[in-house]
Amino acid sequence: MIDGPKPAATLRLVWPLLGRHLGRLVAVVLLGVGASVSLGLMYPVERHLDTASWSLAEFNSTADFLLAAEDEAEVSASLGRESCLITGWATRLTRGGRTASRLELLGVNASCDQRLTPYPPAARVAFSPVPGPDWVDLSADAAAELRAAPGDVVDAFAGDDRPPVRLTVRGVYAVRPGLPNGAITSAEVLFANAPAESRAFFRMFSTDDPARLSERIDTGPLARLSSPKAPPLVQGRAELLEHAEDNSSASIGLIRVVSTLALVSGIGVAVRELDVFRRHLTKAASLIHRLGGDVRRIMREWTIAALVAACLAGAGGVLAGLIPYVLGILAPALPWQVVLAALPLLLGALALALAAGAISYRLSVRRLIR
Amino acid sequence: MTLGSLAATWRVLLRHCQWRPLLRDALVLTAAGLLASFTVLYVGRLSFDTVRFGLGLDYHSSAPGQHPGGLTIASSDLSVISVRDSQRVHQREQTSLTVWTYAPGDAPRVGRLIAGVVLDGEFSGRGVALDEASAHTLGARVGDPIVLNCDLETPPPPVTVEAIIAPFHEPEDAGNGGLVVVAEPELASRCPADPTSSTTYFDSPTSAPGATTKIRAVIRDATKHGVTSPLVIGVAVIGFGLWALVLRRITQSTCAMLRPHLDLLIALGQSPRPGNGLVRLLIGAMTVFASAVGGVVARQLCRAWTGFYLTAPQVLLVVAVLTLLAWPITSLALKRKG
Repeated sequence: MIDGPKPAATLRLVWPLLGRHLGRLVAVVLLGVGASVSLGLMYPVERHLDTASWSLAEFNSTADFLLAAEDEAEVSASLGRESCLITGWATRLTRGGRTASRLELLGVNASCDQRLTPYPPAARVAFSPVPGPDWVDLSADAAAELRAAPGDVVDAFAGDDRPPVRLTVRGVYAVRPGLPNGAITSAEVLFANAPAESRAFFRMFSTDDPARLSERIDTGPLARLSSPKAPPLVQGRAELLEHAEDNSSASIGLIRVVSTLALVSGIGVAVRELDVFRRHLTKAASLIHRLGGDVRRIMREWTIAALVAACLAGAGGVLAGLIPYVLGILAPALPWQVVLAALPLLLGALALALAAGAISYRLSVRRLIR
Repeated sequence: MTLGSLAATWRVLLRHCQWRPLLRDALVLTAAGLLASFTVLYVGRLSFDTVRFGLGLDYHSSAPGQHPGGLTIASSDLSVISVRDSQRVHQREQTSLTVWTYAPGDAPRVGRLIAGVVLDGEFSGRGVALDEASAHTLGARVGDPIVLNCDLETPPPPVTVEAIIAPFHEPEDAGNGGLVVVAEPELASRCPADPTSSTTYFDSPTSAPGATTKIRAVIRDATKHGVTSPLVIGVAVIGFGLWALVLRRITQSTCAMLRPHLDLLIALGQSPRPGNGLVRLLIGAMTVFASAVGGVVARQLCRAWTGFYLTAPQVLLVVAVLTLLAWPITSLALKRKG
């Protein structure tokens, strides 16, 4: 009877038979899970970026209109704190020879709570406070184009006859609110660098529901002060979110296919290797059993060793799969909400592997002892 | 080695094959090959359709422009084409089709030209020929009416789909392309517009300026499509890498399964070649199965989630590419095993 008092003795005894196979299991699971995670996360990350402006923001309705800048105080007073007035430029940002073109640079009024804008703090991935009004928050796409981080200085194109506006990057947000690139700054800095006749607000975000906002607009000064060429048009956040989700589904269908196939491929590879190891382990245990060894102990300890090794390899694969996102290779940002949403799936896969390991152990031992 | 002894050796080895692990390996190879199958489908889509369409046309040579002695087809773009309500589908629209028009009286020659690419129906010139991808989007079948909608206030009278032809793509088109073949007077009465180009097809060699043979034209058009991007290259590397890894592992475990029995046969004087041959055959069968199933699954997902129209024969391309690539991977794995 082979009975070592310590688990290490048993592991050392059978290592020459199984060590190589265990190493192969670890390597293949690491590669399979890494490839699976890196491609599998692409769809949820891109989907989140496409919809975060509307799903994470705290406004309930938006209105489009044209309001001269000098009338802002009167309108803001009538709407209360729970609203933001927005102006903006269609422009480009440059930094060190790099350009983020086709960029919508929004400007918010001084009393605006940024939670109500398409750049809500919940979507923030990097932040460093900047004193004064010359700050700019970039979308993740714009930050990736410019290779900019908080603290860097970017130039906003203000027109052929004007010098560029220097802004300091304050935050980076995992959002995609409109044009390919986006950013938000203070309305004050945009108005200070724009011709007097073009200083106007064109949008509002409010915590009121669409019906209440429509009523406020109709009975307040906005109806009187807004340009008759652009009567206020009210939309609800749910409507905007649905529109963003439809657009996202249409444009990232290919990524959805790649992500799904990558997950299936990676999981298939990992499951096969676990099964192959189980067969080698059963063969080795059968030999030990014929020599009079404690087959239950061998099977138990090596099943645990294999599951621990596979879980560690899986964890390593997950971390390796996240690297392209942290480095900004496969996506401009890795929203923490996506990682959090993926955790139950990973824990579920782990639970499944442990359950499969326990069942496999019992079945194998029963077959060997028979 | 005679055929008889080869058969006897294989019978012995097959008797010792464990079919459950082989079936499991076939399923895992299918799963592992899904990304590789998708890559072949996506990258090869446009060129496959272009080669299939180009080779299917019946002509010897062609030249741009209008030339005497040949069949001239004028080409233009149609902005919208829609189908009326039918019992099967509601009205749908598609944009950016290519329109081929021909002179009245040329219908029989056009019918001969496109006979090789007709998939359903028969083209006589009384109606229009519509490509398969557009027919799928519109839900149109042979005999259905479709409306060539040219942004007129009143939709023009419908035309009847007489034949469904193979998918068609212009070189710069990366979507589903589209083609409708219609007589010139029929189009002029509905969508008056000048054609953007024309091509004359000849049944024999010609010295017309810019003339080229069919094979040259097909190769030229097939190589104009570019669908690679860093993402596609990355997906291809990971997809083929995973598939090659699993294929190698499966070859090794199949060898290990047959090794004890083959060693015994070798000790009795047999050559090791039948064993290697059987492993190649088993791996080859698994690869064909896995690539066929993987191709079908990847095709269905693409059609459901991306809207790209992938034809059934493209799955054959997946099977061919993956089976060809399996040969060197299997050979390498067998060489290392000895």
